[in-house]
Amino acid sequence: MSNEMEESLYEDQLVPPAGVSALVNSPTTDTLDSVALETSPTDDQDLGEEELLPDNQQGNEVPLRDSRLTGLSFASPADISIDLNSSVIPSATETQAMFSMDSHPLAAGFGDTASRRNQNISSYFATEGTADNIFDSLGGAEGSFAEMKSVQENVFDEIITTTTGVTMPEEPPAHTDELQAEETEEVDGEMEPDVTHIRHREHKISTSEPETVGFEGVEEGSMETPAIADLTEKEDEFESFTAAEGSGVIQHTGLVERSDSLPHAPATIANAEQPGGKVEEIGGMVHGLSLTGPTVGTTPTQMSPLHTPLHQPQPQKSASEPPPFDPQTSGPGSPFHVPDSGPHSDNFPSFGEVGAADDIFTTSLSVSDTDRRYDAWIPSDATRHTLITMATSPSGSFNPAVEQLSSPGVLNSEPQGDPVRDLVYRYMGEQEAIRRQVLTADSVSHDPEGLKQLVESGCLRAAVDLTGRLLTNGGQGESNFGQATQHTPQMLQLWFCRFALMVKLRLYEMAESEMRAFQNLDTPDLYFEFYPQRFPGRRGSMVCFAMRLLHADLPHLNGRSQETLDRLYYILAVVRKIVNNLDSEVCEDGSAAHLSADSRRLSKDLWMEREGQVMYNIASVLLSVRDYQAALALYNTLLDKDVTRRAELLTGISRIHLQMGNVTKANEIHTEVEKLMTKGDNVSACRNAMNKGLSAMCINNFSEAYNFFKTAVQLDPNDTNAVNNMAVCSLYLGRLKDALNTLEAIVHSDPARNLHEGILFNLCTLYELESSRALHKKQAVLDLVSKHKGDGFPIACLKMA
Amino acid sequence: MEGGRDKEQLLALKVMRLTKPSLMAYQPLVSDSRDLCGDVIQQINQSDLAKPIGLDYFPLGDLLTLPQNFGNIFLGETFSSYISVHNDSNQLCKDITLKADLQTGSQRISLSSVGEQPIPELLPDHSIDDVIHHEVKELGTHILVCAVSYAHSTGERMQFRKFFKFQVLKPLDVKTKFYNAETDEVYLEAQIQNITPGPIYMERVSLEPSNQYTAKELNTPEGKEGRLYGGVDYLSGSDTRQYLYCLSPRPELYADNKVLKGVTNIGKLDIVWKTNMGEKGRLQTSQLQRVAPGYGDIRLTVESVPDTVTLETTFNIVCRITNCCERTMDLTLVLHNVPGQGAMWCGVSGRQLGKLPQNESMDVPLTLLAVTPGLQTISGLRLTDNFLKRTYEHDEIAQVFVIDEDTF
Repeated sequence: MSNEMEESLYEDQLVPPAGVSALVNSPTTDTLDSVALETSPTDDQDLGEEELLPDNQQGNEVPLRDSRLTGLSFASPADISIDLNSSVIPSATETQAMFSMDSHPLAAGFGDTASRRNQNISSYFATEGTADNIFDSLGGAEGSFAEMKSVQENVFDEIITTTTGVTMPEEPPAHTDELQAEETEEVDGEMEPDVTHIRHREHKISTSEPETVGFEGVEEGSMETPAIADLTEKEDEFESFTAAEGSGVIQHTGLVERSDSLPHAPATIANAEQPGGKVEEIGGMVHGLSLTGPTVGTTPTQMSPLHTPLHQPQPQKSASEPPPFDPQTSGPGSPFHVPDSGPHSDNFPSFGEVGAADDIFTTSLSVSDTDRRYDAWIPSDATRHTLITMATSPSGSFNPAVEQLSSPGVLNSEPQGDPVRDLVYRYMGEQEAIRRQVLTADSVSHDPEGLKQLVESGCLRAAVDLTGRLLTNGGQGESNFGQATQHTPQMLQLWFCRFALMVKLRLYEMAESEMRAFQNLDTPDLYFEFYPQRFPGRRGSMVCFAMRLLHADLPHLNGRSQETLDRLYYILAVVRKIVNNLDSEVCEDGSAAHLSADSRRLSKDLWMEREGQVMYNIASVLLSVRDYQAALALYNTLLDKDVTRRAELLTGISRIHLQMGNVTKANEIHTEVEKLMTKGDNVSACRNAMNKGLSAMCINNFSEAYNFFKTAVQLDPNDTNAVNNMAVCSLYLGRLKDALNTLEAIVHSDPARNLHEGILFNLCTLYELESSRALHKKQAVLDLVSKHKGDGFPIACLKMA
Repeated sequence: MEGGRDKEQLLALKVMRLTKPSLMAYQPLVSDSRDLCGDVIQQINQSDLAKPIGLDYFPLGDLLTLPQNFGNIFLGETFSSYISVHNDSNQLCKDITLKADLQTGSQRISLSSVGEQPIPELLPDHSIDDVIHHEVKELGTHILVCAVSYAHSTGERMQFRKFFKFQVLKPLDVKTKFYNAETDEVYLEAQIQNITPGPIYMERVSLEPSNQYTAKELNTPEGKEGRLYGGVDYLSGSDTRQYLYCLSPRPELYADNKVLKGVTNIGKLDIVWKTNMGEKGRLQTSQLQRVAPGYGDIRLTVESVPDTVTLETTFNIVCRITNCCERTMDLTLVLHNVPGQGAMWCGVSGRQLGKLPQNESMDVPLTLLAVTPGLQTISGLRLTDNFLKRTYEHDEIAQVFVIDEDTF
């Protein structure tokens, strides 16, 4: 019974101490925003602000007050434990005197109900005086026990609010009532010899609910003490840390930046470049013309672009209307002559052949082996059905509804401009801006050669402009969005190029808005079989494989990673099916055509490589959502698949472990890598030095890391990464000037190569830390960028906006 | 950042928090060489410095980038910061002192390592650099107070201060649960929850027992090494992991006391974790306290009991009776057979056991007869303290398995 008593006295401890529970529930991210420090607009060197700081007296007052608080909080648990000990004895001996002692805290509670605010202190004074009253009430009605009970609870409630981090076991609340009942009996004293019943099985294995535990030596900082309060009073006096506001300037895979401060702001750069209103407008337009439906492509099960007609609004246009004539398909003189040369020169059969070959069987033999291999794709069942219907019905009599087709159009025809020139103009004036010489869409020929020229010179924005113009000329401009069109491999290649460039420029939302018209890249009109007249005998998809991967990646880049994973796994399933088909003596798409052994082998190599590509893409997405377990499992699979790159991939895996913080595991992998590369050549020695350097950095040994990176540079003077890493270490060693000199040296030694986003970001961060004249020094960097880089340069890394 | 405020000052103070640098992500564009611009795109990929050597599609390379923002700081982590005092002017400054203090909710800590002695002079465009470190031991608002004082070449004294505020958050939530075994062992289950937004790598979780206990870790599966928490040993945001320990009271202490009573300190948990690029954190819990289960006045333990007995034979058990209260007891043992009980008491009921002083114990051998096959519970032992006329009923003392040998 005393056992139960003891337990029930602790009962109210069920609730974790108030302070602790408040901490548990405290959001972990919101405080970050309040951390963001504002630069003080006022003059903080004003001597008047001295008063803001606690002088020595105030400083002393803080700990004093604090210790009083902790004194209190420690005193309260002590009170409890004393009562407890005494309560064990009297309940056993049952003497009245003992009981009254036992009930002192209760008595105190009684006398105190009026002034409960200072219960802990007054309880001491109240004890003697109110003891008699207690006995009176005890002798009185049984009802007083109920009262006592409530008082008792009050006592404990009070205590709990001041208790910090004390661990107590818990018991089911039911015991309280039992205790009350038994106590009543004891006081009445009229009981027969009492019986204590012990069930060994029940009580011996007593468990308790989990309790939150506090941490050693942790002060409760949640309450702002005067010292802090004084300092915080003038919020606006606070300085910001250098590099405190930057978020998402450089994209990191799976790092904190993504998930804390700006969880739903992907592609900040894209946002910056793209006026928000415009994107909105485009989105609205897509809905207005909604022939595709917004749900397309969210899951692999929806891969079929065929919607049940019942649920889809009928398209405004008559489905039977023949597709508009595509001027670009006419004649070999078209500017869309594919620049590829060499073995692939026959990629696209010249259009002159169209119509000449009526016999599908003879043409199918002449279709290029390479085309078949690269273009192979397995359509979804619905699309396959449509294609078969097309092939079996008389020419022209079957036309699928427009919403089942891809109806792309250029949605962003406005020139992309040149952000580098804009910056130059803003900071260095018109003269400098005029002097900047970069290619634009107007300065090159309007054909794939011109496009290539633009991309080569880094003028990616101009290249996007050019693809827009070429597509518009080809009948897929803004006004054609949502209209059925005749696809050609050339047009789709232009689209691919456009999307790839947009992704490189981080214009993810823009890319996705235009990609939407392609649905799942599985509409019947994207297959050669859809155009038996123009591509007799040719099979497969006009959509290149790289475009499928881009299409799959876009949702992730816009913050919807799960959708991307679904799409990638769909692609992986198709690729594996194709590999499977090749193994089982049929064509890639499962048709029973004869393939030469050589052709089969080449095809299998290609599709195996593509399988690897998809797996790498999936792993990258998993890594950036920080599902390390799944990502590493995939990389380990790839390790077995891709034996030729084992050392490289192992090194990569060790980077993941380092990023995670598991230095031990990373070091194990580094040792394995060293064993793999026994040749002792420069490349592997360099890699080993890099590995060791990164590991050393992760255990805070920056000077050792510095030396390892230095070794790497000595082995390979062109290893810019190692030089950059040396500079980073210099900073952590307190040598800002060295770091700056190192970075400046590499940037100036080979600007064309080393004007890299990451290095410039580091350099500009250091400039900001160095002095108040950071902007001036950044301008010098901008000048260099302007001289050497095209309009596709990511200017966000200069932090000048 | 460079308004008129610093005009009068010759020196500028800059502070940057040094979280670990990160590896720059590499985002390749996949293309076939037969695609339009495919070759050029591949060239762009190849010339990207962030690209890992020898891998085309791997997202992490070797390029380190400096911290982009202040980030989060958690209790138990180390706050590191770079402090630079730069002479922006074209004049010589003299007798420069730099003080960096961290004001927390309860105290003010001096962090500067530059030293008390003023630096005699600082040339134009030169700087005084310092990297400070502080292991964060308090939650809530922290303010870094940097004070710089110096003299013009003319001798005029100048000074200024700057404040930098940040919040320290709680990284882990630790909950404990105790299981008291029938022996004096205690099983401690600790639930450690990661309440940071990102995954953390749990480098070490160990229990440092108090001097009353010895601890045994039960977190490694037998025969295998450390694979209990999966191949990749990390804890994602808001995930909880359970650790189990078995604690036994030290025998030498136990010998004195016979019974562990009341609240005892079990020990504390020591947790070391790492996050991004080895950013380290360490926390110890406060003393974990356990209330030893109360045994009442009398504790009855079974010292020996057979596992299996044959039907319709007698068997012996030995019970140890310990007086846990603070007075001497005079005990009578009554054996109570309930109808339907599978093991019936044999022998004398109502036996006088005599006086049992405080904290003493006696062993009582008893005999039972197995009458029903199956798992049988031994119940019905009654002890009466003749001084107080109080009876202690002990039921479900132990279990035996009764088999019918004829069936074998």
